[in-house]
Amino acid sequence: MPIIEGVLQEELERLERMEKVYQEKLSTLPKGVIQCRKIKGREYVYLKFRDDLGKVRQKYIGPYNENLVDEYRKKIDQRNKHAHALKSIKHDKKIINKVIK
Amino acid sequence: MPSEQQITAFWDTIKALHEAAVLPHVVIIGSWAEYLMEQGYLEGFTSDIRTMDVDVLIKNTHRPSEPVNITEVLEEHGFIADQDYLTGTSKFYKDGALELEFLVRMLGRGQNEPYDVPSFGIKAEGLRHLDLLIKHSEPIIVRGYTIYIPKPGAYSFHKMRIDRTNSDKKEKDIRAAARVMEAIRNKPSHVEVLRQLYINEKPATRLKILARCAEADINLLEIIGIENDETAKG
Repeated sequence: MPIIEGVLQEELERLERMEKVYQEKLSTLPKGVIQCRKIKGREYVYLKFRDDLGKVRQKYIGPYNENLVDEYRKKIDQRNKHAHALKSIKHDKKIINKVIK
Repeated sequence: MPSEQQITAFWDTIKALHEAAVLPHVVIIGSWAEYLMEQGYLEGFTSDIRTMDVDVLIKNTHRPSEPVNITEVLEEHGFIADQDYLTGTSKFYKDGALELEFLVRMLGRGQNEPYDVPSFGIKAEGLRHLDLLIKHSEPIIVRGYTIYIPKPGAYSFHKMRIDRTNSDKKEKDIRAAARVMEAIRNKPSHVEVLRQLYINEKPATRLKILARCAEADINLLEIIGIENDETAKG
């Protein structure tokens, strides 16, 4: 096997491992946006997101708490970054598959 | 050529290791050491293939004496930590562009299980012959960071010294060694490292190395200034 083919094969296996790890990580992080709503003078925190069918859903998180909101926003930001990385992994896999086939 | 995304991820890795104060305790080896050699350290050298894996060699599994939770530090820098289900070693992924793995030297009888690195709080893979890369490493300053890499003479010698079962990797190693040897040919201090490593090997190993070099059209004896090595024998 020429060197470059061997290297690409190895990179493909690495990308496959990465894809699995990123998918697992994404499933543990919340997706969507955080919304704070005032009801009867008190503030509550909700997570607004699209479900697998594309429907907009809202999940109640709890009474307003600055730390809670920060924590969720941080996790959502992390998820967006990882989702972007996963997109790039899939793109690279597609290119390598085209080259080695 | 690495992509911009890979280079950014690599420097984020260096920054994280620096902030964890472990940079003086590791040596960057593998193809990313070649990238560092290119950064003004080894004039006239350009590497050809650079893979996504960054190999970080831990000099001493008990240093730093104050343990660091490297997983926590790397996660704070946006890495995803994972444990290889086959080997049990710790792996870290950055932006889908790099895979970071820690290595340690395998000494004595060795072991199949990964090595516990208490000072880093991880499990690392142990490999043979890495001690020569630690012994012959030196610090270089790039982008304000002091980073340890193997001296080019040791780097190329190691590539020729290790026994690979995978023929593609063997071929890649030989190619990398040939490029580095060509780049240090007229640099006496680098050639001296290569010469010392060669003459301190057993005759059978010297013979094996000469055969590998000959296969790749590398005249090692000419590079290190030895006319004929009749003591190299199997």
